Amino acid sequence: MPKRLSHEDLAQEARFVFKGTVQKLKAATMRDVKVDNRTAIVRVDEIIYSPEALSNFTGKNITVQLGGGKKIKKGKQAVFYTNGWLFGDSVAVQSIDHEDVAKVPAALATVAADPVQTLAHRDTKTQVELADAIVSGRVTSVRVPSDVVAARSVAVAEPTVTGPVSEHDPDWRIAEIQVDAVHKGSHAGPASLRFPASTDVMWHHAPKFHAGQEGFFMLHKPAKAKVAAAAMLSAPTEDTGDYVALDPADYLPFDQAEAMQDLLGE
Amino acid sequence: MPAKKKSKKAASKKTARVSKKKAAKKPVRPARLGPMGFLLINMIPKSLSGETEQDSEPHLTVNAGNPNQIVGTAFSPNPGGGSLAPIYFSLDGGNTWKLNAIVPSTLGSKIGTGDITTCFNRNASKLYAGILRAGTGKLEFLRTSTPFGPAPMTVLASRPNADQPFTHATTVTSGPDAGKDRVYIGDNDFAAVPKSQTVDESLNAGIPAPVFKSIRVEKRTTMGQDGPQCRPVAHPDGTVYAAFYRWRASTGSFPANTLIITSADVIVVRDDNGGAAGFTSLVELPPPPGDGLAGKRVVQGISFPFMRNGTPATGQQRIGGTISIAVDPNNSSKVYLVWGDRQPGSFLTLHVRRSPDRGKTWIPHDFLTVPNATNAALAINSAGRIGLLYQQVTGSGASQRWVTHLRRSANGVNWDDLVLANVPAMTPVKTFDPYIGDYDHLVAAGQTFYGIFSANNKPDPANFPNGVKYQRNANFTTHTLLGLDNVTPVTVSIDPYFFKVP
Repeated sequence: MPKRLSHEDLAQEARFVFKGTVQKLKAATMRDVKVDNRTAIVRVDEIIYSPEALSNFTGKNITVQLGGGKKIKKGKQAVFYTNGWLFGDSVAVQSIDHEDVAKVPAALATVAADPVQTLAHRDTKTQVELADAIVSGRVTSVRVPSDVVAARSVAVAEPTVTGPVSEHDPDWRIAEIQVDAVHKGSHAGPASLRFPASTDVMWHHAPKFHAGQEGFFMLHKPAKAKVAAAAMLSAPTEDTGDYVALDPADYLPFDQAEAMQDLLGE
Repeated sequence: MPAKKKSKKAASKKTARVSKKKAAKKPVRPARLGPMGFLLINMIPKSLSGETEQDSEPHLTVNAGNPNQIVGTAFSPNPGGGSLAPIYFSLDGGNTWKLNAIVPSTLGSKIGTGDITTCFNRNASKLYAGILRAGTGKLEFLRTSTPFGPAPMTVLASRPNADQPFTHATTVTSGPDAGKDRVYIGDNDFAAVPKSQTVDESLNAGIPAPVFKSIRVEKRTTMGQDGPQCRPVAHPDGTVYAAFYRWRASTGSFPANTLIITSADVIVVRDDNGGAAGFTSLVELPPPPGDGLAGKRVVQGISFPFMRNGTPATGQQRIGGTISIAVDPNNSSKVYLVWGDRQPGSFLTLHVRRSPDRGKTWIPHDFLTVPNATNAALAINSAGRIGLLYQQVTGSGASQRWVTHLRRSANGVNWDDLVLANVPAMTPVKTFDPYIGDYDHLVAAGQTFYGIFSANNKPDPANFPNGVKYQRNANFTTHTLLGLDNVTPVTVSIDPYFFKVP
């Protein structure tokens, strides 16, 4: 029997979470969906959180391929934990699970004025939880890793021995951060934070830092599994920095201090 | 009153019948549109009318046996989140398009997938793909037998440190290997530097656990690596070609966006045994005049920029070469090739050449020369007609335009010119590189050319001189994209476009 996911696990794995009412079972809003016992037309009543593209679907019928094994009846309202699947004239989503509205913790079932912002807040919460340390402070300088500098010097002197050139090169930089306060974990002294300066498709969403930038920094050790694979791409061999930042939610400016304090429970 | 209603209904049916008859006699075609049967469509579906992503670097594959089935790809994230990126698909010959999230990715990925190309096998019982996976950047080879269903594609192989996978697949039609799927994925493998050009191939890719072998197709010395483009194409008789840039020397700096490949060769390799001969079937003559190595150097010592970032001078697009090869489906000896190099006054100039003898010799003049262009894609249809898709920058400054052309020729001498799109090059401002993609794609099925490209999506009829169809909400009178409510204005972005021309 598959392991039943907790509400929090569901919330982590689903990007489009909404309260919906089942309009019809064994039916779909799209011809391309192969209808079975777990296919339903569901009206989106209220969106709890959502990517931008689905944030205007309140009041619309969509197709939900039900997951999780629970039964549901026509006319029943539930919270659906879903991810995108098919997009045409209508939309179909894959539900990881659904839950009676009454059984969903209030914190997870609260309908937000801006479901996109709520999803962004959840992403930040995830990064806060994953971070080895969280500090607030200021970027004092941004530099090229020392071994990259050395490699480039060699390349200038002898172009035939230059390292591989790829359009997906992350163009690593290291931001030196003057730490004013530590909010999670332990860290002493300034922190060096590696980030990809590249605007290539593979890296453009990663945070870009500049001298003078102030805010909260979610610090992840490069060896941590979630970031290691991506960080290994063209990684400097020596000057790796203390931490690496790859997710847009790894930084919050001070004007969002209230949200950060809320996430940190401060 | 029922009687009157019935009579009205009957009249209406009669009118409809008459209209249908008229339509059958003379197909209705809006004025000012392209050739008969031409279709150009913005692939973003209606439910995503509010989307503003930079959906660049498109690619497509067509089921040759049933060209109603088409799959496209681009840098499009899953609009509904999740750990799968979407493909675009059509089941009605490209008249409507939907997205189906089946490509392995990373939960919540903002890019969906890195580089992606797909190809059906011969009867489209399987769809193969080569991707750079979001989150890890790993080169992965994928397969599915249900591209229009919900099941995620299966990962057949995965490894780090390679770039720009370019997928081609076919199925052996006769002989002892009949029925076997052969998959060729060209890539630039940094694990093989300095001779990085590679074709990863499986000669029996349809089995549950196919083996992929890395064929190092670069046989000569390089400046430390080759360029990223490696384009394989197969003929049903078992001939397989691939074309790539051999990088020999450079100046400038990639990080500083000043890198110039000062000396490169365009090389064509061939395998006469479906890939089993290691792409060594085309060997140059011993010196002089050749060097006795596998792979024909079609042109030597060319130069072009290899840019980290697009600039205003290049229509926001990073330029780094472009290459494409096509084989005549009626005669595997007849091959067309296009490449790009830098010429005075042109950041990249396309050159189309032809070989009549399996790549051994190449007619030493351009059959077509196009300045300031990139994303060249060649195909040859069943009538031996050549198609060339490319995107060209015209004008300068704020009036600069990206003009997407399809050129066709029966003989390589006389070319027609179908302008697919003529859009502003400086809007929207790019959100990442590449602005419109490091490639687009063109294929032929029967006599029809099918292609895909990315461009500005402003709904302005003047931008699409041969007509265009939008699925997403748009007002072509006010030139405004509209959201899901068909009211709220949506900002202009880069969208993928599909076209077909009989």
